Amino acid sequence: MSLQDAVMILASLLTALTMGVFFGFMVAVNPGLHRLTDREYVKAMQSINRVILNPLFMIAFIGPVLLLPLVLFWARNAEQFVPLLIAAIAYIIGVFGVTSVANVPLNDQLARLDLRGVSDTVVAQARTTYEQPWNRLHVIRTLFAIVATVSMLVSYVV
Amino acid sequence: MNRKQLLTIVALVSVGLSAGVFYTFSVAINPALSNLSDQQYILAMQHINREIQNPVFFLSFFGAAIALPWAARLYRQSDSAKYKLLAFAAAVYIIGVFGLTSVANVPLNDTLDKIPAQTASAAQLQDARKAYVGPWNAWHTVRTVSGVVALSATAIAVVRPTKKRES
Repeated sequence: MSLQDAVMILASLLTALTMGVFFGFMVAVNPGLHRLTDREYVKAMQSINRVILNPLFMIAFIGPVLLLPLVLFWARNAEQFVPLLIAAIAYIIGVFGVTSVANVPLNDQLARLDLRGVSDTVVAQARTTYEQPWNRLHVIRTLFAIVATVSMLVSYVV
Repeated sequence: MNRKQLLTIVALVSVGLSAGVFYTFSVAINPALSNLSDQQYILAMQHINREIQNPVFFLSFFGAAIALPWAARLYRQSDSAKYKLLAFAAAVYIIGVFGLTSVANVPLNDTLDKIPAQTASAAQLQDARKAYVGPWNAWHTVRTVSGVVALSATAIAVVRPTKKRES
C-alpha cells in the first residue's frame, strides 16, 4: 500500500465518521433533547458542547480539512480531481466552515448563560435563540458531510 | 461505475453513518449526559432511545447489515482481497454492532423506558440509572469500536485498486 492510498483511506474514514457524528445529532440527539424542558435542554447542550471538544472528535473533524487538500494535490492531473474537489469544497466550506461561522458562535453564546440564578423566562429565551437556528444549520452541515463522503468515494471508481 | 462498486459505496456510507452515530455517543453524548441529574439523565436517554427509532436511522443501521455481506459476495469470484476485507467488515458489523445492540443495548433501553421518570422517587431514579448506565456504556464502547473497525476495513476495500482478473 502506498502513502497516497493510506492517506486516502484515513481521509475517507475520518470524513465518514464526522458525517455519522452529525447524522447522529440529526436523527437522534436533536429530536431527543427537543423533548426536554428548557433548563434541561440548555444544560444538556452546554454539557455536550463542552465535552465534544476532545481529541477523539477533533481528529475526525479536523482530519479531513488537512487531508483532503493533500489528496487533491496528489490527484491534480488525474481523473479523480473533480469528485475530490467537490468533496474538499463540501467539507471545508459546508462542514468545517458552517460549523466555525455559525454553530460555534451559537454554542459560545449559549455557554455564557449561567443556569444558576436565572429565571425560567431567560432560559426559555436562550433556548429559542439557540435551538432552531442551530438545528437548521446542523442539517446543512450534515448534508454537506454526506455530499463530501459520497464524492470522495465516487472518486475511487471513476 | 459498476454494480459492485456502487454497492461498496452504499455499504461504506451506511456503515459510516451508523458507526458515526455510535461514535457521537462515545465521544460526546455519554460523557455530557453523565453531568445531568438522575431524572434529567433518564428523561434524556428515554427520549433519545425513542426518537432514534426512525426510518432514516434504520436505513443506515439495517442498510449496513445488508449492503456489507452483499458487496462481499459480489467480489467473491473477482477479487479475493476485497472479498476478504468486506466479509470481515460484514462479520464485525453484524456481530459487534448489530448483534450486540439487539442482545445488550436494546433490552437495557426497554427496561429504562418503563421507568416513570416524572413520578418515581429519587431512590428509584438513582437505582434505575445505576442499573442502566454502567452496562449500557460498556456495551456501547464495544459496538463503537466494532463499527470503526468495520468502517476501516470497508474504506481499505474501497481504496484498494481492483485486481484485473486473469483470463
